[in-house]
Amino acid sequence: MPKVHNWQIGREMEYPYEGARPKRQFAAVFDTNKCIACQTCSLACKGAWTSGRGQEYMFWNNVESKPYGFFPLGWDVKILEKLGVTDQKTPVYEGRTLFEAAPDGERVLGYLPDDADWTFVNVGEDDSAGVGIDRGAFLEIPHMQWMFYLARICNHCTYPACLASCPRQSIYKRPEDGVVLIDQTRCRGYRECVKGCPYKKTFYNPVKKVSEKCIACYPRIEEGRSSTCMAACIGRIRLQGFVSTPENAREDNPIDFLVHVRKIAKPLYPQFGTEPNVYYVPPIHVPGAFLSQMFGHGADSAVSTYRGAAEDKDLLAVLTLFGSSPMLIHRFRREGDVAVGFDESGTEVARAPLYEPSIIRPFHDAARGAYRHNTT
Amino acid sequence: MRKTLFALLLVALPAGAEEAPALSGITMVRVGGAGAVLDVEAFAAAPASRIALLPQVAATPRNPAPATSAIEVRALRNDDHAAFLLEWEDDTPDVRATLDGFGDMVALQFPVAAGAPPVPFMGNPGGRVQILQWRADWQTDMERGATTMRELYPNSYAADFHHADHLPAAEAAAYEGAVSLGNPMSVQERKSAVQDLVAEGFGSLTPRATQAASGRGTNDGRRWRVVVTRPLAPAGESAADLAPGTSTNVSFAVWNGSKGEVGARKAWAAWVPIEVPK
Repeated sequence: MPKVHNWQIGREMEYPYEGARPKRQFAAVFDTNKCIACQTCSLACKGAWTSGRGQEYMFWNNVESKPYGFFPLGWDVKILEKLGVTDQKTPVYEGRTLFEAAPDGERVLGYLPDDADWTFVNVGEDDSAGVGIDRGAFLEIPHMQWMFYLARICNHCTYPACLASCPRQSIYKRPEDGVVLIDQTRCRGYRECVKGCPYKKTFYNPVKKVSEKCIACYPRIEEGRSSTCMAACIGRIRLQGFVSTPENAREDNPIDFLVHVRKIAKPLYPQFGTEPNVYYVPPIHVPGAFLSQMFGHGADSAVSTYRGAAEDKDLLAVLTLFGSSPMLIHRFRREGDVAVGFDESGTEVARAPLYEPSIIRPFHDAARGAYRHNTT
Repeated sequence: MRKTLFALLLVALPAGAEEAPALSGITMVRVGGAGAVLDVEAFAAAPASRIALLPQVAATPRNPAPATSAIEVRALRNDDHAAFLLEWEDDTPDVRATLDGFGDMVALQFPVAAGAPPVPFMGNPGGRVQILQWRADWQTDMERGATTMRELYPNSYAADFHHADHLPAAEAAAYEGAVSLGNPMSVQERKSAVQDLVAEGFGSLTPRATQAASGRGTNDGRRWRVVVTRPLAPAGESAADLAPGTSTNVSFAVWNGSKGEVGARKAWAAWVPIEVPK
């Protein structure tokens, strides 16, 4: 089996095909600390792409509550259990990837979700509180209660497990932007990709009898615009662009800046070995061992760097650009206390102040002879 | 490549397979009449050949322990059509493909060109095969209409607003994926339960431009009985010639859906000689 380099796990790994990186790679950074699970992204995607027959159950974009929310049910704990304990304390991952752990005769270690696994779309995941604060928590668990929201789309992996799994080579990675697509003319609905993708982001359409997946809204990307889930995010938790490999990182590329320069954005389960390209700012209130398992080596230092963002104006500038333009930001610059974003041609597409102007109004309004309070 | 495959085949032969009379060939009988044959009774005079099926272990994903170990085959021809009655044990008929379930299938394969046959397992580059695949879920589509989510999951929420229905056809096409691209998997009004395909090796299976085969299957809760028929004369490009007097080969594959068999996860057979009677 050919060897490819996976920078996220710091080593060479086995993959069924020779490595061939695209000219540039679709990427996004999601800030988990800002997500409120309003599901605007899920519905933006649903309305755009999956209103068709056989797509009723599909959420190419979903937001789930962690640690106990999943779509489909148990997707990550099931594959983690199959893969075994994955220690990521060092920059070089010493465990096995899903390709290296593939059983004899298989290309990838995976599993096919059961029908019912698709029926728990963030329903009841947050109902951990009892009725009335004095009655305490409804949910009793063996650790301190914490949770966060995890927005998920296809990771448009550099080494996709779906692509590796397909015996018909019906899945391909676009050389121009690294978007991973299922060829809808060649797919025969075997569901090897559904079985192989550890993130469970390929979906079988039982009406069309073929599999379908997130297309990263590539028609929008081709026009320099961000994908619809990104543009719709009212919490401004998302920044979309293109990520470089570490040795080619460009400091003025906002994605590279977050992933490679400040290193606050981490891949989701890098130990799977697919080199996923949606990066997450880890939640700041979650135990380090959990973060390390979910976001790999360096998740804890990502949190401490993120906590210091108020003192780091360049980092603050990039964080300010999240959701500040419907266009893809290829470069950014900080001009004093203003963040500026540029498209591929160098045209300004975003300009946002690092600090909102604030005015403190006195408690007593002498002109009107009235006292102000904060409920009106 | 051929040597490797045959070596794998020998290794894969199950115990007792040498007892199977398959390699002596299948006797095709001549019957009267013309046109497609879908009636099981037409095979009354045709002798049965029991063909051992082998695990597919030549390509990943492999299927080292297939659900089906043998298939019984009868063959006939009339004035212009050949037909095959294929029977195998399967007490779990799978006639719809759900999210986590697969339909039952059976396939026949012929070398496209005369002479030494290509690799028996889906052919090889330059060694083309014609494959006729009967699909239980396609037959169900014909009998009950195209699959709907409401039928598969009666208690699920099924959207009744599909925005492609409300767009001009040219705009709707972008949202209909495989349907608008004409992928035969996604056809909503089926004309046949048998797909007519061509291949030159693993992963190369492609529908033929001309679809000339048909078929019908029944399952009594114990056993599938499926008839597959096609014209004797090759219809369109890449079709095997089954003209009277032709000596050729045929091969088979079986998938048991509820055992997770689909695509490469199948049981299959080596070439079996067959003569089309004059």
